[in-house]
Amino acid sequence: MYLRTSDLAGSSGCVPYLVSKFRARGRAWRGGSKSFFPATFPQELGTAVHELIQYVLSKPPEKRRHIAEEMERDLGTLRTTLKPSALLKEALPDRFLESGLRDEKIMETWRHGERLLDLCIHFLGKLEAAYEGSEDKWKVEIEVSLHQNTPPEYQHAPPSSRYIVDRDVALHGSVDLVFRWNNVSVLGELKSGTTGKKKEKTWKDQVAIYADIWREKHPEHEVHGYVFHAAHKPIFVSYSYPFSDLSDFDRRVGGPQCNDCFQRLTCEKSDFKPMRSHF
Amino acid sequence: MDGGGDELTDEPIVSMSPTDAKQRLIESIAHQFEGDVAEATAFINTQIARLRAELASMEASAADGENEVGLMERLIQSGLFPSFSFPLDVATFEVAGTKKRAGKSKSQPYVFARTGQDLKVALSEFQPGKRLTINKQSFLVEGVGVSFPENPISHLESFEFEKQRYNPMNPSEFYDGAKEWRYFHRCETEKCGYIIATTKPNWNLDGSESCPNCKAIHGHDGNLRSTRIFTPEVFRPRIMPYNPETGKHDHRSDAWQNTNKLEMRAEEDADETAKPTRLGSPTLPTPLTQKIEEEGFTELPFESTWRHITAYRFDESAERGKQLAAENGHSDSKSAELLLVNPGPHGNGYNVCTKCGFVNMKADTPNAHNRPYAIERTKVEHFVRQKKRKEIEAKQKQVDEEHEEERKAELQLELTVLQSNAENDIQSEIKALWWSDGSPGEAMQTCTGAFTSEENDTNLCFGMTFRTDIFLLRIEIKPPITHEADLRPFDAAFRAIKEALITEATEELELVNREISGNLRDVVVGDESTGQTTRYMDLYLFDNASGGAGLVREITSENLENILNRVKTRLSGEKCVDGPCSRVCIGCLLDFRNQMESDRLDRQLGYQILSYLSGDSDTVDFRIVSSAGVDATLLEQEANHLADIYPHLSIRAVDSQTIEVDNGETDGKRTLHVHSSLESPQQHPDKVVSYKMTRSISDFSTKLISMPFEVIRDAPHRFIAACYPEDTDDDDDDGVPEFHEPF
Repeated sequence: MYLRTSDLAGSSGCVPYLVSKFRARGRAWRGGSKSFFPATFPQELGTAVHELIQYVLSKPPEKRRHIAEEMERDLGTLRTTLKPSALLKEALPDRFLESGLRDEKIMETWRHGERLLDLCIHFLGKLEAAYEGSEDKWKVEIEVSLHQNTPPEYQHAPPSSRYIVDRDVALHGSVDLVFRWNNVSVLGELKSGTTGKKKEKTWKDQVAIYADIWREKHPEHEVHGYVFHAAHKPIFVSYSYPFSDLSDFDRRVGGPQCNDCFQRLTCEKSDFKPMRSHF
Repeated sequence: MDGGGDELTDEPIVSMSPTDAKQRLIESIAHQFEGDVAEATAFINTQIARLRAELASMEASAADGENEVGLMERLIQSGLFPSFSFPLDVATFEVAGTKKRAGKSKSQPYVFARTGQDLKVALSEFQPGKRLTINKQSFLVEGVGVSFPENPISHLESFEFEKQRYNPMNPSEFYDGAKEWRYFHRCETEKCGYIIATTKPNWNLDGSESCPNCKAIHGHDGNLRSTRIFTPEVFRPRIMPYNPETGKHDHRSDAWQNTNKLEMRAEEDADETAKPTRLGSPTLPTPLTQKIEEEGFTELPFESTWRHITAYRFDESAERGKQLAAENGHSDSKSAELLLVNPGPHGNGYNVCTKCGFVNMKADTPNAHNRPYAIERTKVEHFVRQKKRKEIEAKQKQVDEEHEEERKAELQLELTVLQSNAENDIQSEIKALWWSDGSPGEAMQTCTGAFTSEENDTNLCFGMTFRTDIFLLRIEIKPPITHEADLRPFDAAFRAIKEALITEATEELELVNREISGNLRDVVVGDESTGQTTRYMDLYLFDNASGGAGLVREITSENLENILNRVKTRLSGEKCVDGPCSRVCIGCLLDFRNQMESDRLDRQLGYQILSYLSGDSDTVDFRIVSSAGVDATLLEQEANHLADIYPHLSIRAVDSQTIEVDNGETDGKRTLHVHSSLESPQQHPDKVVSYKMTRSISDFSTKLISMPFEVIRDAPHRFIAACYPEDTDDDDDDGVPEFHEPF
């Protein structure tokens, strides 16, 4: 039995919903945005923006800023000419380009990609300033698994587990960005699309869970967690995830997850508001 | 040939062969084809082929009483016979209860109120949850039904609403009884709403179909949903026992119903909180195919300076192609049908009692409930007698068809017993329905029928389909028009154009008001070979008369440009009351017909779109609000207005599209690029950041904030929030902070 950290965070702490997200072993989640099949436009956009940012940040420190500038310029060109450059073609997922570059995709990729890239590069500058001697030495790893040994230098298997409801449940997940310098690990979660108080809370919860696991796996590390979204300054996560709240099976909490819950029509705490179609 | 009795004229009656009759018909209509006999012949042949196909399909379908329709009605529905103003598709609102008349000891059937409406209107005006006032009494609509139910106790029992279209034990197996049912198939993916162009009950039974829109855009199957369509003939309020002496209704679920002593009446609806749902206008199914021509439309060429606009008209010959394809089993021939659906308050159908038609609008499902009608004793007796008569007829048929003597004799004996006991059986059954074993029978109890539900996949939506003439204007949406088609300004602009188009087409064609209607739909057409998609906004006009009256067909290549120019003039503000209005007024767009969407219209935005499409402007410009053209002072006026609201800030318009704001602090200067909500970001200058993302900016000196003029004008607080975003990351965390930010 295992649980994806994104599902755990996305549950807003609602235990009945969380239990419906338990997964059986055997069909392990492969993790990483490369394996992720986008189901909706926001997911498709999110995947594309992830890939762009990760492409730039994963480059060696000495080349990173130059590529970021080039990418920002190319995104601006994409907006006005509606044509992707060679660099963008390399960075963006194949599926994103193959499934039609319509105006909506281009404009939103530019809007979110450029802002988020600017944000991350600026954040890197702040990190370098905060840790003396770290200039041009921060390594950024992408899609670091918390339950597998990818990359192999992190011995993250077997996965960490937490006591939820009445059992130990293994936690699976991948961290979008890990900024590393010496023993400092800054975990970053990239987010795109609409924002809101409740959504922000689930994002922060997700990073809090990552940080919790990371501290367990690497007690020698100084660990910090941040959420990156184009509409916010990097959001610092200052708390530990309250796993102890998850022992009560009847603990119901309304939140963004209600839209995806099979009890959404009957649950008294449900935040689900049926939307009429446009017709 | 009989000439018609006493009114015989002196003209000799000539017998005419079918060939001659056809030839005469062709000659008589040839002038409508500018004398082109070949074209007139092709048209007549098309109509004959359609008529033959229609008659053949009528023969093929089983005529069970419930679904049986007259020949004329069928031909009108299929558009083969002119309907003119025949009252087709009419629904009534009926309050049918019982009343004690003076001098009478028993309650008698009584209709307290009855009114009729065109079904298209009734689906909105009589919909469950709506309050109607007739004869100074208010009623809450809480039930649906049919005019002539088979069973007077459970009116809707024969519709089998409790059943799914598939075998619940094996969902891929189609339920035979569902052949005549119709379904509303659509995609429920967010921002999609694609409506599938068929109402067949067996469509996507195995879940193998996908949404063409989602397929083209995202490469996934979408979230398809199918809801059964019921066409109500009658809408009703709830009827409950009423004591005329005390003047009170009996709300108890175990109260006796339909007794002689008490009346059955609808309760006066004094609740001021009834919430009717908004009903959409008739919706044209989005094309299943990628080319609109395959839907039965042909392009209407017109020469003009207008850009990105293509006009289409439903074409008989194209439909013939579909018809022939349908005959060969290739396709659905209902290409020109309009589907009008009321999908319920939440868009996922209504919870309707499968027996009586009571519509539950509350979250809790009641066990026992009042029926939306009173039960008439005479009708119950008639029903029981009919049932017995059918039983005897069936037995008689068995006797007649049996050839084996011994078995025939047995059956004959059974028939004789059935006949001789018939009256006793009828009386016993009637008695049992009213009173059995010392307790009230079914007719005297509240209804205990189960409700259709989303969980059981039996939810119902109310709707209808009708054929009519259609004219369609297709506008390509691409830069400089924004891609954000889900924004309210986008919808408001095109709704305004649609309303102006209806008004101007009515005036140009010299039609009577309300003879034509219109709607709009968002269409995305994908090309699987290139993976590219093109977005369109379709505005379509149609004749309100079922079957079509040929009105919108009067829009031709010759008068189309004039209509479009008139639409632009109307939206330019020239017709507004007291100068160009700021949003909408009775001079330009407001009309009784659009009262339901008056809050969703914006003349100025519509005019900005038309100014670009007509070639007057190179982009969608917020400064164009009237026929006077670009108003270079508009932003200056707005800046002055903002300066009045926020006197502590220095706000000034640098040019007609740029505002500068300064709060006097270090790094307190902001520069905003102002644009129309409808303009694509492609048109914005470099280094712009959306006003929604300014919270993430650390250094404003290198950035330009882009902000729609409409937001600045209508929501100045957002202007300030974008310029000087506050750190709203208040500590809403449940846990006590344990870590501190390293920098």
